[in-house]
Amino acid sequence: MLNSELENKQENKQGSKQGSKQESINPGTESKGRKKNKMSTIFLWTVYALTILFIILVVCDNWKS
Amino acid sequence: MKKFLPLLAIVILVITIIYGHYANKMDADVVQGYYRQMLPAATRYEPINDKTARAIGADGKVTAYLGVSSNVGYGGPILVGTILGPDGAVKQVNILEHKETPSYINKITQAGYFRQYTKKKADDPLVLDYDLDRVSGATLSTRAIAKSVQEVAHVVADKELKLTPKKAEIPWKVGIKEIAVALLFVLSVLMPRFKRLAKFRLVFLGFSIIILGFWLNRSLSMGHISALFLGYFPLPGENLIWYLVLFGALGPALVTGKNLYCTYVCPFCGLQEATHLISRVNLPLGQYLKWFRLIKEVLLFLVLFFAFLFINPSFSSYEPFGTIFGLNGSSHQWYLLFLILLTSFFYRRFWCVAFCPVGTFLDKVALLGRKIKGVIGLSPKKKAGKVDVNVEL
Repeated sequence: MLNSELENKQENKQGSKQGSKQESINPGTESKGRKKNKMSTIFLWTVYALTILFIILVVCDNWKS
Repeated sequence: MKKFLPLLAIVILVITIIYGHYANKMDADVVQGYYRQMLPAATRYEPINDKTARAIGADGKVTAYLGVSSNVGYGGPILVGTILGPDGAVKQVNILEHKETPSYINKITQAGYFRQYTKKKADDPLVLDYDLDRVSGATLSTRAIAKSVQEVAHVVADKELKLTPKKAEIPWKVGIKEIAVALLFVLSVLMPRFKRLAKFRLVFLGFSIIILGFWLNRSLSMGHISALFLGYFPLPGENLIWYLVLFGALGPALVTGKNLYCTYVCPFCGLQEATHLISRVNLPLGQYLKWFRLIKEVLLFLVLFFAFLFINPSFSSYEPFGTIFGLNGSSHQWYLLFLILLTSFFYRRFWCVAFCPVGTFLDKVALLGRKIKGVIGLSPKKKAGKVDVNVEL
């Protein structure tokens, strides 16, 4: 599968999920879905930041050697 | 403005490559410094060319010929100093400076690799696996050193000793390894054309993990791509797989307009598909995808920029392919690999989607291929303004 195609698929999937989630949210209370969403966002950005950090460290290793 | 950003990036990269070539040229004082370090007994050094000289003794006679030359090994350039006697016999070969992976240099030194040079003459072919032995596990480094010695020795043979350097007649090595790699790439082009074959994509990726990954450890990396732009081509007779991998990935992308390498061949993609098969979890990346895509393009630009600036193909290469398939890497490379594989249990092909500069480059080549097809009128008619993504699976 092409990278761009994979990305498009994931984008569509997220779009439809968000739509269905919004329907189920009760106004005024933080739903479980939203909490879950928040947690997965934190997880995603944590691993993303860590990966970038290690990429920088690998390039620094290349520089030193 | 957005429209001109890719053009601006290309212009910057072209300027960088030109600047890099000039900035990395050794000036005469630096070369003289190396001569003094190699042969301090000489009173002066008369240049033969910019990197080779005659060493003149106190009596005014030529006591030796010496030169420096640099070639890229596995991880970076190795600067080698070579001393030859007045009769053209190689007297001494040593490494003056290097940016190679230190473990390879240790291996070469411990194996006594340099001893074999003392039996050689200036007009000998000085080619690895022909009249020189390699050090197993450090082939690229030993090949780079041999090439550096050859460059100096042949200048001395030709210009000073009036000898014609002997040429190595190396037959093209087409063995089981080369056939296996060629077969992988041929099948990757055929697979999307036949639906029955396309069903076996994951099985095919499994073969690729074994062949291109763990057996040969020759997956396409940014080192290949930067080397292509920098003009570092190995001899086809010595390293045919290098050409098969590079052109097997770039050629179909350009001709078909599809990034087939990432889909069918890349062993690291295969590994991530395997982790996805185990977990069956694919958390959505959704709204962040456009950021990941943008950052991935910036990463590709930076990798090429630094490789061109320092004229070193693997300087900014950070892919963990060699770590997993060669089981060789620094602690940071192992941490990076662990993190990527762990994350790919939750996000399908996380590396490909968010970080891989090779995939981004191949996507660009495929896009260029589609545009060329569009210009010459080979692409099928489609809605105006939309780029065909060519979905097969």
